[in-house]
Amino acid sequence: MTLAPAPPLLELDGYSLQRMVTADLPFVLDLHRTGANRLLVDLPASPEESLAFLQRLEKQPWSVLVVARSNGVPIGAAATGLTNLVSLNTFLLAMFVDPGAASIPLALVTRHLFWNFPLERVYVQFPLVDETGPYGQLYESVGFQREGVMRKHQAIGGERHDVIVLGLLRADFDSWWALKDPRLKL
Amino acid sequence: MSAASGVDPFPSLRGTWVTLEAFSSANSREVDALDARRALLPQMGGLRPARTATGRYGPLMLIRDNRSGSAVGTVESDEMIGYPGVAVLIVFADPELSRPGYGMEATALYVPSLFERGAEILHLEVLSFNREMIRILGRRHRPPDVRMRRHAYVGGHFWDLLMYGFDRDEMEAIIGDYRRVLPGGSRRIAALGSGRQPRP
Repeated sequence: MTLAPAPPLLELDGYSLQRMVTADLPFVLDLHRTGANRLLVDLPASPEESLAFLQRLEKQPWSVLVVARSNGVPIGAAATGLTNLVSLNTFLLAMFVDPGAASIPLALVTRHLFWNFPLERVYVQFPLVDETGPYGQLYESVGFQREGVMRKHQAIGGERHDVIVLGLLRADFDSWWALKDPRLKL
Repeated sequence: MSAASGVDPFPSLRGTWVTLEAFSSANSREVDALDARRALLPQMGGLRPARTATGRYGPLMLIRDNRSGSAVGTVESDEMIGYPGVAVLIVFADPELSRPGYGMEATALYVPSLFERGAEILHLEVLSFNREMIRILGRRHRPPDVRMRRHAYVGGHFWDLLMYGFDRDEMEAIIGDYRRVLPGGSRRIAALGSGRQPRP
């Protein structure tokens, strides 16, 4: 991350995506403490370690590290996690203040990924508990498909929970947005 | 993983058809030769594995044919990235050197030790064109828990990746079924030397 001001990467209907900068760290840390977000992204405990974690993500090939804004107000953050340059897929880490109102910014994130890199697939995995329910709906609202459940893979508070897997193929993205909102089509 | 130490902290495990030996300087050349053969097999992902560290729940082990004494495969595991308590199992039974049942027996020998060393869930991944493995799992277990669409680029094509998860009870039931069909019936599989009496 840099200290330079970040111009928007994409803008639509008052939402924008901007590259994450160091000044965004307090927002990202607060966001992580909001709702179910701690269950989605395994950020280290201290701000220093979290910054180092994000900087490691940024150094990965085809890295994307962005903050989503609504009319200038930060409402979410997203990053590519593990990216496989052979199989052309990436694991998406995303958190929002209100996942129920984040379809457009999440669509901008996935569009940015498919537009800029020859990715075949973007996927997410998170524990299937009541708190994360809105995220399942969010991902499905932008074309992700449920691909199954990894049984009892995630330990939370001493109990093991199922982990849902959702995937978005490049072809899914195109066909989804061609029907829903052609402005987002590649 | 260093083979130079020559120390074998993990006991060999002897079954009816195969014996598992922990990776060591004594068998590192055989493992290396098997790795080279494995890299040519699309169903194993077509990659030569990096032998850098021991698994969280168990070591890399060589599968040796009891009758011929030949090295016929490897079995290994490590913790799934991001999922503490989940052991990913990789079994390679060379299709030209091994015989039907060897891979299953190696699995039955190896898996109990993973749970004894703290694994809570066993995780298997199979490429969607590996019909033989899917048939075996379908017969003994259930359909895949997850089908990650077009997740793996192997041999010039994108393939689905199928994932299966087992807890200890499920795995013990599967291994129990397997033991009953072995020659000799329900004879238990034991570590070599486990029958020795302790010194007074």
